[in-house]
Amino acid sequence: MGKGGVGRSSMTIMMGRYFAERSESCILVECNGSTDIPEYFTATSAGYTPIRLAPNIDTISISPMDAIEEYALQQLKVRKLYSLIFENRLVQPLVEAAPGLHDAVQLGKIYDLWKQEQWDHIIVDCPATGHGLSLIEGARTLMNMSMSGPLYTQNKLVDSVIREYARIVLVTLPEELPMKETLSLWSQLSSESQQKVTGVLINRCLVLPTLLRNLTSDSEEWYNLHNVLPSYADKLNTWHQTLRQQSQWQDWLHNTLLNKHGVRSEIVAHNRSLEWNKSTEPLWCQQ
Amino acid sequence: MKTHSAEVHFICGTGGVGKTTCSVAMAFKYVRSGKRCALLTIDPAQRLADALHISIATDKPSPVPLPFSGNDIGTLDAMMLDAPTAFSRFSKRYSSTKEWHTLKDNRYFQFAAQRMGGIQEMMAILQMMDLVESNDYDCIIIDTPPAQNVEAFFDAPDKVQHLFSASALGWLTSKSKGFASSNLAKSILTKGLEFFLGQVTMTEISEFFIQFKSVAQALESIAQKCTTLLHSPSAHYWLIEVPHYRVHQLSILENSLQDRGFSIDGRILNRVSMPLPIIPTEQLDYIRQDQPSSATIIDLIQQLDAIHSTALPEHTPHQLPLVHSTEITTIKGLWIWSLALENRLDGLNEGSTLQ
Repeated sequence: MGKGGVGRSSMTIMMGRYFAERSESCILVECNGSTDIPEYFTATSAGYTPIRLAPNIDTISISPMDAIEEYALQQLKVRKLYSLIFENRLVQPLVEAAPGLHDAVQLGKIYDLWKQEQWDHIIVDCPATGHGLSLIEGARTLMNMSMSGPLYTQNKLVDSVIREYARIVLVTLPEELPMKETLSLWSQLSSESQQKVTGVLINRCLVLPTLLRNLTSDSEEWYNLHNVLPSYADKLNTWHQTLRQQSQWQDWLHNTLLNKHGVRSEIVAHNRSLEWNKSTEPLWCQQ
Repeated sequence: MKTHSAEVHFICGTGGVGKTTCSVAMAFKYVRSGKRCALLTIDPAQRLADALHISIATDKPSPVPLPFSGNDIGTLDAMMLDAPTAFSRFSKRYSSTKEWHTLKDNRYFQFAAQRMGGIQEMMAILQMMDLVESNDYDCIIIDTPPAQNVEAFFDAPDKVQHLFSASALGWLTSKSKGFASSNLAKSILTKGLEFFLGQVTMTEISEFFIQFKSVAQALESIAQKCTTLLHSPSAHYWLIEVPHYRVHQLSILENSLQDRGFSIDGRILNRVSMPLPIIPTEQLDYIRQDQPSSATIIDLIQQLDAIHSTALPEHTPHQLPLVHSTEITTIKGLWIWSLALENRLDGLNEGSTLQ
């Protein structure tokens, strides 16, 4: 989960590949009808039925209307009755607008995937911050609204499974706005929703090799470089500046979340290969 | 038909491209030309206050202190949308005292305010129209939600009209008059929904729609005005993009705006990080030979540059420099940045035509 544009889909793929390489099967789940993931695997667009992207990696794109139809058919058993109720032109706007229904049915579909026990890991690429939060709270919202009946019972089950088995990985960037948004998202998740947050991945970090890190503008080597290739020396200076700013935000998050609440964060270097290239075990594997 | 005096600018783009920052910069551009501006952010994440480093109210526009003053400088008010409070506020405004008394305690009303599908977007258009109709502003900047939700935003006027259209209310509200008046199909419908939602909720939903009638009528007429505005020359659409990321999503967004008949006024390419200039191979080879110690350094810099810099797309839109976060942590910094934006936009107006 995280702010828009921080790289949630990229991290989803990176996690999937990490597990797949270790022969653990997984399914990458996109919500609200998004189909961004298959592109990375040069696969055709995914739909409401899981498709295979690579060995051990499947994907599915869940859309609210598909999920509503599936759920309603499960409950009603008769397609005619479904058409009569849900394809009614008067009812449709109400179904679309029903509070929490979109989120609850999509969460219900994720629960169905879990129940199939076909995959070792179900990795959900949640919608951006606020919408992600209402997705994960979807079952609870409908429980509170219906109070009794089949809708209540079903969502109570889904909600309890999510609370028990879901591990939330937050994704952020080493910049002010995403960092602040991550902190408020974390506090909403942990206080109001009481969800289990594994930690925070700080994506697209600038990582300078030691050699370049020591090449500050007061060093002799930098001066030599500036003499022959001024544009290179300037670029290096810009990176040093970026690095200072980034580490300031990394420290800020570390101090706020780890020191006060024991929530870990991990730096992910800016790369385009979407592979976990560190020798250490990634944050999402740690308990 | 009433013509709107205010110009409305929609800042659209995929997630994380800097829509909020660009919205502020755009607002500053118009403030400098003496306009009374309002900036409304709809993104549920509400990072506008963080970007401006001031506290911004969600129930009315708050004045933003400007870094410069002068007689010819306009004003800027900012506002963040909080859907549940907006829903209550508008419902109260458009209902009778008696209706409001019942509505505010209705459980479905409370759930609808929090989680009704599309509530965020519906309230956004109401709030926007409220600013337009107030006649307090010459220029209104809308910081829209990310790509996927911006669809819902532009769909919202139609949705409001459908949801509350008299016919949709009809069968629900008629139920309260007793089942005698309802035909078989109606009874199957309500039975079906009751099966899902439980009897308690159906009663509450019916009650909600009965008491909500006058509000619904008011909302419907606002939604119609909004549709007119969106297609009028007063509406301006700007696409914000960053090099490389989300090309697929951006083209979907662009097509969808065009399909709706909205013409895009301009595109802003944000966060451009110019790659290193190309150095002739002979010169590089010479340096490598002459200063072997620099060779490794040059290679490392080139490798990193390939990852971090971004080649510009062929059709370069209004190009903005990459702005490091510390440079825009103050209103003054944003003001200066907006000058860069203005220069680029003006340069474009003089020369080529807008895309």
